[in-house]
Amino acid sequence: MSQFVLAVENVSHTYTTTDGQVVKALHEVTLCLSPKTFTCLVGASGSGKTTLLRIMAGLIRPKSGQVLLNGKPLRQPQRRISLVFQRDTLLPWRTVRQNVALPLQLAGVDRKKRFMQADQLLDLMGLSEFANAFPTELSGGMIQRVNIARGLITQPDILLLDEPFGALDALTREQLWRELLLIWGRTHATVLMVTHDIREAIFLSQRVMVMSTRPGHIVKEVEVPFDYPRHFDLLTDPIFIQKEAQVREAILADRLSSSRLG
Amino acid sequence: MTSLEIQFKRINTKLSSTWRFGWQIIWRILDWRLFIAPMITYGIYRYWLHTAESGRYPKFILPHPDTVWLRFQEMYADGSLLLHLKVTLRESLSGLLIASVIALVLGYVIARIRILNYILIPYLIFLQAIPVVAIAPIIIIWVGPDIKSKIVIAALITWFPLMVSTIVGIRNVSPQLREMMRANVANPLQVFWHLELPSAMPEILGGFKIAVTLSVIGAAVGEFISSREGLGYLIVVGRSISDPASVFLGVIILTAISLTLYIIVAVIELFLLRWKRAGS
Repeated sequence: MSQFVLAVENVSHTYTTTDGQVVKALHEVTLCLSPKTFTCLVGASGSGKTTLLRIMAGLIRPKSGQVLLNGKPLRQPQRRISLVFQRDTLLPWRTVRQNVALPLQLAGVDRKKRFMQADQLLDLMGLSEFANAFPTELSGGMIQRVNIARGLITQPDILLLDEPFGALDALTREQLWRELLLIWGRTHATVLMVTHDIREAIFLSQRVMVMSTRPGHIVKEVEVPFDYPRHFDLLTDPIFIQKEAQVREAILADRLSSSRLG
Repeated sequence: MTSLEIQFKRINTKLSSTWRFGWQIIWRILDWRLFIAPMITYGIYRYWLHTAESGRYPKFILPHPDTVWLRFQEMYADGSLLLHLKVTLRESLSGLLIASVIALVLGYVIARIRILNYILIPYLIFLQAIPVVAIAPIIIIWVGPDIKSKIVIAALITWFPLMVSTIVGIRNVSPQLREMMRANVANPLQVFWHLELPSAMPEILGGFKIAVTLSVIGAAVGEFISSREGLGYLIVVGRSISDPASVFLGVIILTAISLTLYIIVAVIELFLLRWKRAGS
């Protein structure tokens, strides 16, 4: 696997709401994803995390600053970078298999080959029984699995996840953490995941970045020292709890300072 | 999930395979509710029979059902009915085909290119506001008295609902799904084929349900004004020689064509939109 580095340099972004207000979404964000690492981005809702992810996927151009993929500026979406959306973005008229195979179909891979790869991935995620089902027949957890499977099928070098487990119940969510880490262990893509769940961020990643609210700005970086594979007893580990407190403190401090300003 | 639920899901999954065509559609067709309308039709027929036999109306106003049935057998035997039917069907289907090509292209372009909405829509509504029946004689003078003018009239009467439904369908395509396609590096043709067309299909098929019935009306209107063949011609001639049986026969066959075309669209819809029924 090649060594793809995605770097964000001094990215600032503003957007105008429908009632004409100019919102500063991001301010001077700089971060670098080194190959085969798992990074999480946490922050309160409305801190521009999703905007940053869309910029990193090449969907929108930042107002200033730039995104570099292996040193080259990123101008449009790339097949190497895969984005898993927060909301259900499966095509309702396609079966699970056809949905997972969509990125390969768009890349011009023939039917037999893309369905074979989709079936392998569905098998890995325990979804092979539902390969012929339509998305409306699935539960929320299964829909997110399919979403992630679709993001993985092109074997991207960089996987961007936008609150993939945000809408799920705690049990399903924890099960999906394990599954995600398992699959990541096999592919070793570079992962950046946005979440607002601190425990989720620490459990999954090697590095947690804390983002401030409006404008979004990275205020703190916390290294997570645990090795993979990780188990759930980690959640009660003193170091884990200490890291959790550090991240929470950073978020609270930011909220305090912003409320004092406002 | 209980084991029963899992079992149910399995069956459901099997049913929802891509080519879920056979049993489910046959079941849909055999739905008992489909027999309500024929029963009502039979009731109307009984009422007609009763009224005709009461002798309250002269025969040139309300013919007896048997007279109409006899006329049907006669015209079926000498092949003239089939000829009229073929002509009308050809006119309406050709009109529909031309209208759908124009309406789908125009509708798509208007939905995607905002400025065209402002430039074209006023003229298109202006064109639609002209009663086709009123300008049909002029169209026949312009295009000629043969089949071509009826095709033009049928197309003129059908294109508008098709275009409007296409515009609505394409505009309703979810922006989130558009962004997802863009993130997956889809080119414009792929976006159209894999996202826009299937997404707009419910609206487009709704437009077709209206358009197929209108196309038959369009063809008949053209035939009323000037023709030598077709079901509209049959009605006009029947009226002029005080032969209500021909008029009734013509009307019944026209309705039957509309109904058949509508059912064909409904069956296509059943197949194309089977994903909508899944999981509900």
